[in-house]
Amino acid sequence: MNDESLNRLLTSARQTPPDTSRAEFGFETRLLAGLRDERSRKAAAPLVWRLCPWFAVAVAVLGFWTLLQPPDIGFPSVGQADDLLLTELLTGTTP
Amino acid sequence: MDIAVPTDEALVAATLAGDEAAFAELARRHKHKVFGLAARFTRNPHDLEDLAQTVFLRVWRSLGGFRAAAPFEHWLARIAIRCCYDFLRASKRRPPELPLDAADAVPAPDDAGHAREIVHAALARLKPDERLVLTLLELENHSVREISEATGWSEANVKVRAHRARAALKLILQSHHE
Repeated sequence: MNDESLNRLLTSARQTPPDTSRAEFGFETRLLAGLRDERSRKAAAPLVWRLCPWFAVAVAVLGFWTLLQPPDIGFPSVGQADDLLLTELLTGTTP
Repeated sequence: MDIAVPTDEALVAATLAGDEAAFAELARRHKHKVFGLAARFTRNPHDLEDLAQTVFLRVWRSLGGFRAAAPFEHWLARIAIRCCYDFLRASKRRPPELPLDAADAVPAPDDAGHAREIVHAALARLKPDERLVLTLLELENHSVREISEATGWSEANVKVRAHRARAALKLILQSHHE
């Protein structure tokens, strides 16, 4: 392909821009919806950041409270309960 | 009775004051140009919509920086070009198939649509910077200076890229013919 052919091809393509009328239809409405979406996200972001320290404090308090609880509260663990149930089933007596 | 049509600059000021309708009017006025440019780079309707939205959202975010030293249209074109370049660099789509008669086809004058598709498919095989420069220069009638201002590349750099892009495009069309 020589320069002349390429130029003719490009000129021809230049003269017929792609038809975008369908894509353009109602674009402003969709754009404004996108804008409002972005605005609401922007508005929510500082609130989320402001809540972060409170959330961190809540996690720390819960962790501290868990540490203060006695380790054994008197019930058999799940594994132990299964053993007791099996013994009762096999022997018919409650240990 | 003569009803004054607000200028682009007046609409920008109104948008900055919080008037959404003014921004919608700006979009209505200029969307055809933006879609026209975007469609040179993608035929996928979703990508086209996303690209146009990206351009106008970036315009909206940057409106505070618009100084009215140049017409709004030029400022918008610069943003649109940068968005299109970002899109090209990020795009991982496979280029469309070249029509079988691409190389020997210098289409008949009444078959310009066919020429457009050949050029589109061939340009899609170029590197993003080469495709951008050649599209703006050859299909969108931008000057070297305008491209230089929009991209931040020197005028000499734009010319070199355009020269390389033309050579690569010729090669693509030739190799497809063989």
